[in-house]
Amino acid sequence: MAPTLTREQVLALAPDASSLAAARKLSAPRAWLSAGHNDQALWGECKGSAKEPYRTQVELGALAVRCSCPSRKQPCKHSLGLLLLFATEPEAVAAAEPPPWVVEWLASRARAAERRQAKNQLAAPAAAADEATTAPAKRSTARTTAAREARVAAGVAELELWLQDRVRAGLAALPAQAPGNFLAFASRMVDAQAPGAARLLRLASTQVGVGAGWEGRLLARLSLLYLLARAYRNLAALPPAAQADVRTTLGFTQSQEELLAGPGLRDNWLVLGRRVEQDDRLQVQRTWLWGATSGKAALVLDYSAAGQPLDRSLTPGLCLDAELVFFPSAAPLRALVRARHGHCEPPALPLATLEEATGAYAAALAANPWIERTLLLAGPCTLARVEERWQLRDADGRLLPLPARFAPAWRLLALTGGRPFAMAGEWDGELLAPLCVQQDGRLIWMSEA
Amino acid sequence: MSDPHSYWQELAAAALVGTDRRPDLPPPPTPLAELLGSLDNESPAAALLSAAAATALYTRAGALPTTSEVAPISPCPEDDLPPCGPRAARHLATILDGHGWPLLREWLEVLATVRRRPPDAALPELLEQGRATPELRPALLAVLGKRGRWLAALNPEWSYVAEGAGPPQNEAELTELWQTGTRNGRMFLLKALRASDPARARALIQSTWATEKADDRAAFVEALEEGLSLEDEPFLEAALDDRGKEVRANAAALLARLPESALARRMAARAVELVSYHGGLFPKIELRLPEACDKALQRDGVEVKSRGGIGERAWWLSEIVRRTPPATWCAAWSLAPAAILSARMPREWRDTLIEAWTSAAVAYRDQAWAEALADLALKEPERVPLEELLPILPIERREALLIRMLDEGRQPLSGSHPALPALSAAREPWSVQLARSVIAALGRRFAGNAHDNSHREDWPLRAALENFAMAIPPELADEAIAALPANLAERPYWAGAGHAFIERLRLRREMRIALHE
Repeated sequence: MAPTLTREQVLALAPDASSLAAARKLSAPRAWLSAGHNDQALWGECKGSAKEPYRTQVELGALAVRCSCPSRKQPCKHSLGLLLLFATEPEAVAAAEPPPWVVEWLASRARAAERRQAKNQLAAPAAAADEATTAPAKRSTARTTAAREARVAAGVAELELWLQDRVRAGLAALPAQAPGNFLAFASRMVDAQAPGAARLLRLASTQVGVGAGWEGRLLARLSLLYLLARAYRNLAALPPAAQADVRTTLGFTQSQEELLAGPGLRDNWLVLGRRVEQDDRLQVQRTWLWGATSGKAALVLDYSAAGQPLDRSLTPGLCLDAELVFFPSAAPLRALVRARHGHCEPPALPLATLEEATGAYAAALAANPWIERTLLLAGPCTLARVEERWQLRDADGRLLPLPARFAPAWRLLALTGGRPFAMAGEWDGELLAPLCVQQDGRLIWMSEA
Repeated sequence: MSDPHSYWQELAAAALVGTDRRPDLPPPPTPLAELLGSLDNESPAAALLSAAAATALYTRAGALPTTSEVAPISPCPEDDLPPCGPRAARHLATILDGHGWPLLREWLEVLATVRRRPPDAALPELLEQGRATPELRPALLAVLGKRGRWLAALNPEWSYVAEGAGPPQNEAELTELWQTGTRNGRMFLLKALRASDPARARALIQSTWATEKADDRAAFVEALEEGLSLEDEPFLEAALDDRGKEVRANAAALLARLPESALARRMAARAVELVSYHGGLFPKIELRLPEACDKALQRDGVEVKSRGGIGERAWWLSEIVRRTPPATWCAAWSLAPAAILSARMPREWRDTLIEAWTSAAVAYRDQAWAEALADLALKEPERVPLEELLPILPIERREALLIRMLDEGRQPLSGSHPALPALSAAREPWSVQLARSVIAALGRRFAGNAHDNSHREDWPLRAALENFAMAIPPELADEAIAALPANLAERPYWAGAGHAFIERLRLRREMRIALHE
């Protein structure tokens, strides 16, 4: 079944504002010499500055695009314009038989997908069968792993002492030294191959001397780092899931191939929203999914360095029949998409009071103390304004604070008319950053900015 | 025995000064005592960090959402009208993206005629536009619907919706607003009030007149232009003796728009002494320059120093004629304006006189003189500023004049065409007939030699295209677009303005079709 796209979903695909403006111009029927669609794909020919018209095509399943234009942006303005046209004036992109250039592209995509799948299926048995031949390689991998563990252990021991020294001398001495001493020590942690600890140190450095009661907020962050260092020292005594959380928080990465070989969870996954954040020189994209049958939340992370495009195929509003694989954790949240089987109708979001919703957060925190944010699902709720600040209010009159300048509030009010809705958002224990809202079955997205 | 929160405060305080100075930790609260007691710590610093980690997690996990007495926002009432369709909504998004408020106003006006309301999602931005641009408010208020009004009532920045397009009716509220408002707020209030109750507006100005600053007084007098009538004369006449120079000048300028005012009569008395008509076979007009600019003349708004690049005495004369009701001449000489204009005049004064008569015809809104001057403009376009006269002519007459200027002689429309200033200044949509004449003249500009590059530098015409795209009736979009050169891309000087013209005209046509869906 071809997914029905909304304008908002297409707008969310745009890599930047200028692409969007250009795409709006191309989203009128007259911009297209020809355009058509079938269950699998959209295609169109657009007159550009070149002699030949540009051939633009979109595979609807993964929202993969291809265009003969020279633009390096992904997706380009032609693809976005065609999608926008399809979303707003579907009758202008009539159902048709795909032209040869579309058929060819779809076939090559299908072949590539088959190859990938075959490789995945082969990976596990092949590994077992070829144990003998790969053993030397494995031994060398084991050596590098052992070397890394030793470096991390030394670094983390150093971290434990460094933290104790800060507390021994008193946090009051820090504003004169921060953030320099924090950043210098964070670099040591990078050298010790514990980039996760380095990141937490950088985050802690932003708290030093900022606002009244900063010492409390800083102490909370430093004490969790201390807990992390102690936990690593004590790693062998911890249950496997907790071990995984300690290692992940320190910055050990999990082999995705190994992970994909493990068990998955097939469900109808609704893409609730995504946020992009800058972390050091890396762009981090968080995409939140929710499984309609399992009721599980999943977080798909994507990283990109130096302006490389992020994977935008998990578009908010899509509902995928897909199989996800969760990273091991005492509170499993991060996941990979292993296989997409098709699209389905978006389900209704679950209802919960704010007390129940924050209770789920407390349970996750109890299982993994370093969890930074969880998916919060609540409803029926409304917006409330308390002392110039937007809050989410449930039927019991309980409140959770929304971000200080919550710009979408007026649009949200206009769309919901002040009637109750269900909301999904990122909750970090202090602020609720809304991702989407559902009312009468209709989903409304907050902008990704 | 403390609770976890105050325990946390004590831990933070201890961490701030350091365990070297404060090695002993406070006793932990009951829920944490067992856990913290079971930890073996190597040093006071380690003990503090362990206790802090446990307590931080304990309080974070246990935090409950707050409650509040704040009343929930009441839901909005159901709207009677359906929202516009998706294509119309898309056009609205395009317009909001940067087409300026005149096109937005047009969209809102068409929306009102098809009895639809704007898409809910666009309401905040529309209300924001209305806040920034008062010209939009009447059209916006007509289509906001119940949801839009409900939303506006929630945001103090959109209070203009509740206040309506007009000023508050309540007397106390009005006085309050006048006495405490900002300069802009007071000016807006004055303007709105002058439209509905001019006397009340004047009374407001007078109520605080003695305590206002000179530049505020000048602005208030200027605001009386809206709804000006002879009832304002006593106040304006008194303002001629004001301390502020600008106040006096503004009052004199307004009195010189009221043919029945004492100032107009005083000017007429001066004028007929200076300008005389001599009939006969070769009728002619003769002039005598004033000897001086006395105190009385200065009080009536004439400045001593010449500002027109002419001699002082000629300046005084032109100022007197400019402030004299033009009907004065017809009465004094028993002649129609056309006869007066065709009389011979001293060549060096003719331009000055015609310009002064044009100003007077506009100021006193004298139709007969405006018509006669417009006829003269057809013959001598460089002498008469037609664009000043047009606004006071009836619309049919105005359009007929422009059509004649465009069709006669079949001159291509260019930056130097005599009709261009008037066409660029048009604020109302054109009739089909006028639009066709404009389109034909525009077509002549681009017809012919493809290598003719004279229009490259024609920036007045290029700038006027933006206004043309708003004035041409949208059903003529294709004809108008065909008038532009087909190969716009090869004429880089024209490509930008040309494509904007095409896009806007098409949008105006298509948005109407979409709104009727």
